[in-house]
Amino acid sequence: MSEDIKSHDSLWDDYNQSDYMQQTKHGLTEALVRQISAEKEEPEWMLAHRLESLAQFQKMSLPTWGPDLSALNLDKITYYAKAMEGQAQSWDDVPADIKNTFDKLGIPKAEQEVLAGVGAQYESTVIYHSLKEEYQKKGVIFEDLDVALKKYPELVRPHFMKAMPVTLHKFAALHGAVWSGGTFLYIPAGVVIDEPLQAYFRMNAKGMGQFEHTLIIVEAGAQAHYIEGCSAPRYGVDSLHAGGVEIYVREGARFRYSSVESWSKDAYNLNTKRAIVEKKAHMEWVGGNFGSNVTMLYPCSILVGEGASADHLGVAFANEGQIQDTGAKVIHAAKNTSSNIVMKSISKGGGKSIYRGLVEIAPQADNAVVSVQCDALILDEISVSDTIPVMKINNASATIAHEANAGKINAEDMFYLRSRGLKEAEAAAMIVNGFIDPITKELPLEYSVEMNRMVELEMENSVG
Amino acid sequence: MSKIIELKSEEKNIILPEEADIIVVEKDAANMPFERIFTLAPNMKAQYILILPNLGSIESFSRQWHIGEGASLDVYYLFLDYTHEVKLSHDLATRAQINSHSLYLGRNQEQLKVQADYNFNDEASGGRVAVDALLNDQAKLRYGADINVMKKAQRSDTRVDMRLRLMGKDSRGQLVPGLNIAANDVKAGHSASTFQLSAEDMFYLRSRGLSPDEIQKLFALSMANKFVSDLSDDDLKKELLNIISSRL
Repeated sequence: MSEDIKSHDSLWDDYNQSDYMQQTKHGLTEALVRQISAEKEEPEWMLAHRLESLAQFQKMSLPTWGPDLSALNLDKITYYAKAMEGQAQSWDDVPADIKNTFDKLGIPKAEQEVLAGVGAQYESTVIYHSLKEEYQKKGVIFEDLDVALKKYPELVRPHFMKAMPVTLHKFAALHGAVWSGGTFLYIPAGVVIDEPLQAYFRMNAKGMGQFEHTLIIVEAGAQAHYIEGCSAPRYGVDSLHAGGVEIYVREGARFRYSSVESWSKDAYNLNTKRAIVEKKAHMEWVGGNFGSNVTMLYPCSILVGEGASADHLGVAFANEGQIQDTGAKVIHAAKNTSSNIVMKSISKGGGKSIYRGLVEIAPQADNAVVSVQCDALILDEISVSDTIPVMKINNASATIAHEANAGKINAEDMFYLRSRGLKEAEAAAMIVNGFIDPITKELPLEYSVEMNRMVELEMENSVG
Repeated sequence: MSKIIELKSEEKNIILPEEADIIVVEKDAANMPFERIFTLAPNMKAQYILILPNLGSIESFSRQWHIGEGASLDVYYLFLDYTHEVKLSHDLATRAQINSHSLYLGRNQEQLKVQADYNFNDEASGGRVAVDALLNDQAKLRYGADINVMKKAQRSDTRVDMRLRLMGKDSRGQLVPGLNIAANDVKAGHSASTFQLSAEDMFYLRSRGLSPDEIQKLFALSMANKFVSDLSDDDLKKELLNIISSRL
């Protein structure tokens, strides 16, 4: 095993002392919701929104489809914790133990070398945010959402939880009640950002819940690429991530959202991501799901403008004890829209990967074109793979092609690589990396290397 | 030559005789129980045709097949004026094979809901499932076809192909081809598609003097011909084609 891989593995095993947790309580109450809002000095409308979300959360049941979530004890989760007061003005001002965690993740180095801007969240609050000056001058806003709520209410209020309403499901309602931190990204009309922007979310303490909200507005003709990374250490106690992502892609704009999620294997990752895509705009989702106990994540594109389009590319790796229930949703709600979904899943060591997808063609969506390809690799006799695509077609002019395949590693490929001197696990990792190549090649080099390393890590002790 | 058995009783459990090359036909609405279980003995070969008419006000309709070790079954499901829910279940033992063909020609306000499960329980079983649907007027369809490959079903080879064409402006379709795979040494695949005739194809057919209605009819007939193409008995083939043509 290489040093690089060791260092990555430690992200699941290393954690910092979390004395700040002594001031927090488990469980969700109205008093806590009011406390979060008061500490953040939020406007009245946001408190009202939080309380309405809490009421919805208390009314709604756990989803009856998909993985069993009954073992998740919501009363044992810590919903809000601050590891430091305020936000650091420079990376040097970040407390040493927190800085060390992000240094291991390579965040400051990447900021200097390849990123246009970077945000870092630790537990419930953002501890650092920066944006290159050249983009600030062009009117780009890249802020912690808590800060943006105060500085840019005219941009935040009309969009906040409109694409992702609190009535969507129980965890959207929970998110609405206790959201904290996250990203606000605003790209003015016509501005093109060539370098990616990145936010990284780290849960550190035992039994923590993280509920960051990402709100992105890409004005007409603008273009950008935003990357999110997430991780948490392993304690043997359930933790919960129920983040929310809302993206508004205006006329003629192009936006790519990439995420590599590597939660610890005792985290429930119940995330909601939705984009509203207007006339001739294009939205791309690129995602890698590793780690977690249970992941339920289905990025959604709602194509509301004529000629709008979306690409959904994703990889999920389910290892021992894990359920990766991931997929894509595309709603074609306007004429001449198109979407392309490519999903790859790998199951190993008794893990279960599920592709769950929805393509819906609305009655008014003439001439919609859809392509869906999902492939599953099952690496041993105890692992499971399910593919559950739903296609709702309400317009006769739609053209849809869906194709899915499941199987094991090709014996001839394995034999060839073994004959070239590779060990069984190395050969299997190489084949799996080739299998997910259509997704990783869409990521910037640093991140595709990261994803390949994570596959190598997951493939340790693989019998092929 | 195949032996044709036309089911005319209300009997719910049918154990097929251990004879080679049987064709079982169910088309008589008067003697069609809402539930029926069939058993095909090991190493036998059979064909089964179900022509499902409108059965009036019933809640649901089901057919279940147990296909013995090494047995081979071809099924033909033709849904006519039927509205309501159909459950089809097929359990396959070691080395058993199934070829399943379904055709639905929906019209008026018909609403058909089908859930078809293909359960591959043991080693080296296999199946091909083809679903074709053509919906006119305000017809609606929800068709789920699940391939379930159990842990012991190593070396199984399965595939589902679903094709839907909406011809009515207000027709609606929902396809759910599911793959649930618990074995690793398998081949499993599915496809689902909706499609239009290309502008070039339409232009060619119109230039040959065909009206849009005639083109649609031609298209439906090509689906019907594909549906019956593997059926071994020519008379039954003709009968099915006549039934389908009469609805166009």
